[in-house]
Amino acid sequence: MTQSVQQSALIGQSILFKGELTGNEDLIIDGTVEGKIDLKEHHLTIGKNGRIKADLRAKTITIIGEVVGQIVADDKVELQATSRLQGDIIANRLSIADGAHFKGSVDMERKAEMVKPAVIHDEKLHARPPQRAPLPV
Amino acid sequence: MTIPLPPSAPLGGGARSIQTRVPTVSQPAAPSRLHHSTKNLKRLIDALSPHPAPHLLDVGRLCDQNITWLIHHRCKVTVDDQITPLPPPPPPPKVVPAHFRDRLSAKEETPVPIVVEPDHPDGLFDAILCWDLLDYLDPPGARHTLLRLAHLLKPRGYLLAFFNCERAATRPATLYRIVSAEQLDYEPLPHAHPPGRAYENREIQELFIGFDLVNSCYLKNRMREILVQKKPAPRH
Repeated sequence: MTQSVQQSALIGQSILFKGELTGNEDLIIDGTVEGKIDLKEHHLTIGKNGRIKADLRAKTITIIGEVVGQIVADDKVELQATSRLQGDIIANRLSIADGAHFKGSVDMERKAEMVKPAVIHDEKLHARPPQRAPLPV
Repeated sequence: MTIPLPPSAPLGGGARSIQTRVPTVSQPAAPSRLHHSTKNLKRLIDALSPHPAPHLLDVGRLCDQNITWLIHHRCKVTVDDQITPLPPPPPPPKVVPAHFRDRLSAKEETPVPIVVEPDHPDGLFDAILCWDLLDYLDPPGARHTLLRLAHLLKPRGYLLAFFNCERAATRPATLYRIVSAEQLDYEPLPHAHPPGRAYENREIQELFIGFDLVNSCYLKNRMREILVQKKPAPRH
């Protein structure tokens, strides 16, 4: 039985976390985090009350609050109108809403590096034997 | 403009009714988001083409479209919006009668110029996009700002600046979106305070004394685009 709605983990407004945060699901942060956040293949949202001093890594990153640190997204980084970001962005796509504050550099040169591990992974999948066709009735 | 009044119809007793029409002052139409040509953006991109990955500093208003376009043209872009935080321009100085002038101190008469000093390492950038930042600064502030920007440039780095030369109408605060190397989209920002300065050509030349002029062009929309290059260090 598969989940039709993927629920996101939540770090609430009163939470202060210092250290390295990793996970295998989407995450919404509305508290304070210092250190490093790594959510490969998942979506990270920095909520309106989020205060982050950390390097962020995820598939897509949406910033609504404040972030100081490097942002690396395999796909897209989105800065909404109330966001404040000081740091560098590495992403394939970038969206900045009117009113957002951003100071830092933007680079997309790591696109080739991001693709290489995925290509190797696909080759391993193709190496698996094909499934047997159903027997005729 | 004087609007001729229609001949008034005579009333009884010879009194004339004066019909007046309030002359309508034509307000300058708020510029819609239209394409405008640019000449020096392509020159800048072509000048940077020998560099494998030119590093460009954009001190204009934040625009993701511009960042994406520049990155697709092999630039690494650092954004540091210096226009949005600027305070509104001060009101024009009052005319002080001569017999009161000696009572005012010199400090009260001369306002402190607004200066922009982006905080980045010296000699980091191959080019700087100023857009119309200098239109928000008085000449002393603009000269000091250009001196600071020159330090941020690599040797023979480039700087592109826009000036509004239209004095008759007030151009609103504008976001310049890059459509292509030859076209920009001027997006008016009605909620942002407009630039308070319209530089004359002579004043513009004096601002860039520390640079070599690459190209200066005056566009049909009365914008002047200045592309300059940092002067080489003097040989000892």
